[in-house]
Amino acid sequence: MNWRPMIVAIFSLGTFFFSFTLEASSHREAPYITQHPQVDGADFYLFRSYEPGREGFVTLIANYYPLQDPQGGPNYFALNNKALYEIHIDNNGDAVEDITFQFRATETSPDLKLTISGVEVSVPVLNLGSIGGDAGDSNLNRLESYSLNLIRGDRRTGVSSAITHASSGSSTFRKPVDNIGSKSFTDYAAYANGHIYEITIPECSNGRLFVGQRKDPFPVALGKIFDLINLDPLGARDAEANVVENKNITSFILEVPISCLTAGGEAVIGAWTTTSLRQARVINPAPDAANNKPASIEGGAWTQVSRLAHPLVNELIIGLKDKNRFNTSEPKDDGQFATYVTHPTLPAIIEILFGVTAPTTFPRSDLVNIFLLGLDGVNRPTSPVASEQLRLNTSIPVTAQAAQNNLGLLAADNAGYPNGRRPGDDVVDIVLRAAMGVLLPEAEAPSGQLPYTDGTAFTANTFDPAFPYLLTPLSGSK
Amino acid sequence: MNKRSLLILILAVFYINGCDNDNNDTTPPPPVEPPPVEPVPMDPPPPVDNRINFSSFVKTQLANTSDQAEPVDINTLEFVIDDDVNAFNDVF
Repeated sequence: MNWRPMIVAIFSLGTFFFSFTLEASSHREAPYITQHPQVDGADFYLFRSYEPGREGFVTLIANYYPLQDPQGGPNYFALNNKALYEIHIDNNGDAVEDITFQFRATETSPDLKLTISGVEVSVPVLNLGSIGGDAGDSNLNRLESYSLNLIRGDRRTGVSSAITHASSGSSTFRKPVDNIGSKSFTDYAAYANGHIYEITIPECSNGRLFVGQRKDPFPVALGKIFDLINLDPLGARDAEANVVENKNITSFILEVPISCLTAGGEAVIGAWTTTSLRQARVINPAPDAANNKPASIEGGAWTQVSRLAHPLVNELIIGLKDKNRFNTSEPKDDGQFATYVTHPTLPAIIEILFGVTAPTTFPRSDLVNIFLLGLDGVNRPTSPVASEQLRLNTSIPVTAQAAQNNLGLLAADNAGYPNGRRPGDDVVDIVLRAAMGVLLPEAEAPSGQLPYTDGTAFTANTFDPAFPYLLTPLSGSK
Repeated sequence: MNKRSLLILILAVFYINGCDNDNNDTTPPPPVEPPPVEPVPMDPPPPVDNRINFSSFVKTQLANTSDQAEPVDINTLEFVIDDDVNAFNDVF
């Protein structure tokens, strides 16, 4: 969720600093994660696949490393090969993960050289010629791969099984290099599509997998927001330009059979994504790649540094003093953050700025239902433990792409946010309206039925109709 | 009993009691109070140093690298950070 009016209000009130919080639904939202962009969670999507014929699957998308300028050479945006990227599933409502999909990246460098007057000299660039097609990876100076494990039970002590290529049985997958430009790639889309894998999931049917750069799917009128909300939050839904239009992101996109995620007859699943780094790190004052002396040494236990489910929670709900803490926390301990949901500050700030009337009922049980429990009769598990998770009722039928309403549940499109989240759901507008009490009686929310908007409209048709749904990344030489 | 006999009896009792120092008497002697001892002032116990050398702590974490372990809670720890530029040479 992107409560941009609130952010601007905070600027104008001079009480907070949110200068970069709007580039994705959750980006640089906590002080510590700003130092680790590779493992900074930006967006999380969870929906029944709406590609025709794939309704029996759930697609999970975790976007990391936000605000990638396409012209990001010479290193571009490699994954952190000393991190864990994870997606967790709670399929019985107890706020503890039952299944974890754990990604670990690896990186090798062939150290491409040129012969300069008889001397072999290492080149400074990522590629020496075209990539893909007949050339394959022969001109590529850095090769990224990753593994994907399915862990049942506790994320650290549970039973781990490798997910493998359905065809070869290999447990190693290649990540395509970023979209360097049109001279390096004759057809980047085709090259990237060559890294979509059909996968064998232990004790499940097959699924699909893609990890690589995509065009950032999250639109926002960034400049005007920070210009003291220089837009009309009750104006046209497409009045503003998307200034993130020229950014890329790195996506982990997984399609899994519904039967692989659910358990015990419970149709509702909860999910969230996290990253972890080793607890200890020592910087090497004299790295020497030729002799396997890296720039730093990491060790100790895995320590969580990023957490994301619903959009914009840590950005605009959690107080500044608790943002780092939220990123290291787990849903089972979310009672410590309950006040931020039951007594939210956003509506009060919108009231101050725009003269509308914030809801008068507290605690805000409507927001508790959306963010912590699931909506009764829609996406609430049978016995939920209140916790911040993105919840999807896998028994609610898919809405075909062309018929999706970007206001999701608010427009009676029950397959949309907050019942999971699809790429085409306008979560900003939905959450603005929810915050101002669209689900409350008018007596408790006099301004709750107004059509709040951030002005950057988009629809499901913005995206591809099939896996991996998110668009080919922008070219670096465009 | 006439006075003579009573006197003999009494003397016999005293005699028996007076024989408690010969080798065949197993009755323990009465306890003797120990002489008074002047108290000796004791030095206060040395203060406990709970501080942890940061470099050593980090090396311990590196040595305990594990995919299953839980992170160490450092909120209750007080670190001493030295400026030894060679502190981590052995790590590399």
